[in-house]
Amino acid sequence: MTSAIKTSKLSKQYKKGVRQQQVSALLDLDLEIRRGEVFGFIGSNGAGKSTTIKILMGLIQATNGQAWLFERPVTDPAARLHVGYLSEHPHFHDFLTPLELLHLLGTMRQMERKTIARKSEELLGLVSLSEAANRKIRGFSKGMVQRLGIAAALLGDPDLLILDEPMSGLDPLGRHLVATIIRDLQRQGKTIFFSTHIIHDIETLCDRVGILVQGHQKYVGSIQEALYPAGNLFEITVRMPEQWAPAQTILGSLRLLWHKESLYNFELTEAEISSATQAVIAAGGGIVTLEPKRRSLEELFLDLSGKFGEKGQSDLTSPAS
Amino acid sequence: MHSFACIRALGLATLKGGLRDRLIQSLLLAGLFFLLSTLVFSSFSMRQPLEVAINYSLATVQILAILVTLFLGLNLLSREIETRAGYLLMGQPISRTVYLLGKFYGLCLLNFLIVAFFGLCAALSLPLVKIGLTNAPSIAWGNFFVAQLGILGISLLLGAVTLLFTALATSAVLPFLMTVGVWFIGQSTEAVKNYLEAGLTAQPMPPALKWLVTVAYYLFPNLSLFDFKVYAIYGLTIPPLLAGYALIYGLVYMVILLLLAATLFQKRDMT
Amino acid sequence: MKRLLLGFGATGMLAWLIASYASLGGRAVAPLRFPSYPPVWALQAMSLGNKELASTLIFYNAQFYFGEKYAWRRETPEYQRLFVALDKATDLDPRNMDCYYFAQGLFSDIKPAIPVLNRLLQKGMRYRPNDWYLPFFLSANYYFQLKDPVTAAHYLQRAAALTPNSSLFASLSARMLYQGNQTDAAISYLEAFIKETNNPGVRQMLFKRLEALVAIQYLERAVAAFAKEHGHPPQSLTELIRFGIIKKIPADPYGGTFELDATGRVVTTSKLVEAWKNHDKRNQNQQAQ
Repeated sequence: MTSAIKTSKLSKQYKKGVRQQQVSALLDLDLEIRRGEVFGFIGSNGAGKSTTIKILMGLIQATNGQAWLFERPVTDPAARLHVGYLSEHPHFHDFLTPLELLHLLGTMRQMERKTIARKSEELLGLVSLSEAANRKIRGFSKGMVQRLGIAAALLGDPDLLILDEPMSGLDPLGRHLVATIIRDLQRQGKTIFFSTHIIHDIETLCDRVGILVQGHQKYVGSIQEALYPAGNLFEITVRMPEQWAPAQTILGSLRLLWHKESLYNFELTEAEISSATQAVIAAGGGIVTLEPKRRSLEELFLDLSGKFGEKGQSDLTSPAS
Repeated sequence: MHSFACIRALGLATLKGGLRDRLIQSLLLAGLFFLLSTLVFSSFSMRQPLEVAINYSLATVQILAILVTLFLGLNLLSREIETRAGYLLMGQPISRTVYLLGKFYGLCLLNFLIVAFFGLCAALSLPLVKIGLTNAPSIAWGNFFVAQLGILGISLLLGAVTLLFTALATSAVLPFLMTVGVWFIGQSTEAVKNYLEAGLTAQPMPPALKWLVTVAYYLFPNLSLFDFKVYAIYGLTIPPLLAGYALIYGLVYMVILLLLAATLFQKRDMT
Repeated sequence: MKRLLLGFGATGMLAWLIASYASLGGRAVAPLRFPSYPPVWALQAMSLGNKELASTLIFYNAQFYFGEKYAWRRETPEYQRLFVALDKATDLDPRNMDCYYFAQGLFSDIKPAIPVLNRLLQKGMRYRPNDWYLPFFLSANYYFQLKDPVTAAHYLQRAAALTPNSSLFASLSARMLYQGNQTDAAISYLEAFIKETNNPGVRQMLFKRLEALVAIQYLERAVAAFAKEHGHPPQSLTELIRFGIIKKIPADPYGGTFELDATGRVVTTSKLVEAWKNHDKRNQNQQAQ
């Protein structure tokens, strides 16, 4: 199985200011994203997500290290032939109409004129821009521009989709659209690499995540492993008959988290689950919920950052908070 | 083959952008107005209204073509990098050189159209001026055409200069201002050099200044080389050597500019 | 953008209206001065590759200035500056015939200006070798002002060789070389010049000059008649009236008076020469400061 994206010791330093101070935006990033995977790239603003994506898209050059798309070095423009890209704040040639723009992009992707026309129509329908197909982009709203960006990214029927903050500029409808599209593409076996600072997207969409903190990669792995690490604790909520006391059974040795009327909530390890449930049933009670005690991604992220309350961490939000 | 198709598509898109640009539209309108005023302007001449009409219309076409190049360079090249609209194109499977050449091709197309259109307008206005003139000389149409080609050459060279500065600078206004500077210097280096070399100055020249002028003369494009207006105005014979030299000089200079621009652009980080 | 352009246009129109209203206002108008232009190389640089147009614009400016100053305000134009401007304009475009023609019209009557005027015309001849006007002008200047009939005839021959219609030159050269009557020749020359001029200001000036020449011709003929009758020329012009040859001395259109000089020739106290000299002096003063 070949990789869709691979980087090796990828680093980028910028020279900033009058004194040309070296600022490290990315340091020794090693990534490998397999075909067919949905990979979420998390980090606060300035963590190096956009830098990585721009190196992959050939927009900036890495100071050190190498990167490949489908085994081709990113310095070769042909590496991007099967890649669709949506930038964080897409800007288009606003004097063109969506159809003209897609035609231009299609030509660059070596598509046939007929294929471009068919695909444009289909995609503009998908992002609900059919009505605006012949209007100049100049008059478009922000959401429309973002949706056009999605259509542009999908035009070449790419095997790999690289999306830089695809959700950030979108209204709820647009977000739903993007999520649907990502799931569809995943089903078709396409690879999707996207950066975000919205946790909710990650949890529902990603197979694996990478977490960047100030240019350093702090974590790569399955989202389940990240959220439910081994040795994880569970919580059990049980409904017990009246006059029941935990001390009478094995449950007495567990930590009682809360108790409300006939409902009890305990914390327990994976090994204690079977004896605890048996004890509950023996006592004539019932199990209401049994769930792993989960870490939130925010907690995970803060753990990895190591420093609480540091600037930039407020960027990392979930829709619930 | 694919690269050529990309350059063509990019050029056509740039051309569309130019024709849909409000500033350029108003420039073109102003140009049309100026050409219409040729009749009035030339009527103030005592002895050579036809010559003045040719002079005026060629100058109008030249200024117009150069202004369009400058603003097109600003709006469609530099600003495209600044607003990141170009990133979308650079993220496509094409090289930066193809992108740059596509943009330049669009510039060439637009300039060609503008010079052709206004040249035609001027050519149509000249017979009107001639009506009612006794003893007016005949119009040297061949020279008129060569003068138009010269104007095209100047504007394309300046377009290539804009391209080079766009590849260098991060802001959009800087390449514009720098190109204006090159225009100013480029069209006067020869005159200043000749003036200094003629030794007409009151005090002897400081050698440093002389050196500076010589460097400027060879470094900046010598735009006065492409000025064939005087041959068109007075119906003089164009020396073929001069025309050939201008053609070769222009082509070589443009290729050098494009190569430099492509090299610099390749290394540029699109942050 | 459109609004901006409209705004500019409206402001320009308003300024133009105010300016034209002010120029109609008569006495309240600001003094009209002719600009002194920067050096030629600077003009060429500023023309942005359109030095021929710059040359035309300088000529237009000079022409309009002269029209307003001379014909409208009836003031003495700043001849020196005008000449310098035309000289610069012909450095920018040495083929600009308008400038040579205008310069000949303006300065051919101002004797101290003749050397520089002739140099200007010779520059024109180098660049317009097929133009008969330039040798024609030079011929007139050499004949009338520098009193050099040989050089004048040389230039006239060059002019005649360049034009198919040489009847004018035939009569002119005949007058210059054989009859020796300067006033008759000057009138022929001036009439030829006026016929080719359509600028109203310049025409007005030339007509004035013609008027003076006709008056001189009239007086010269009276002087000749007196001499024939009495065997000697008159002591003064008033003698002509006393002896009943003329009824009155015509007025000098330049505001001076006609007199007989020591050699018995009719002359006028022309103020043009003074105007040229005054400007000369003022320019020198300005440079000294």
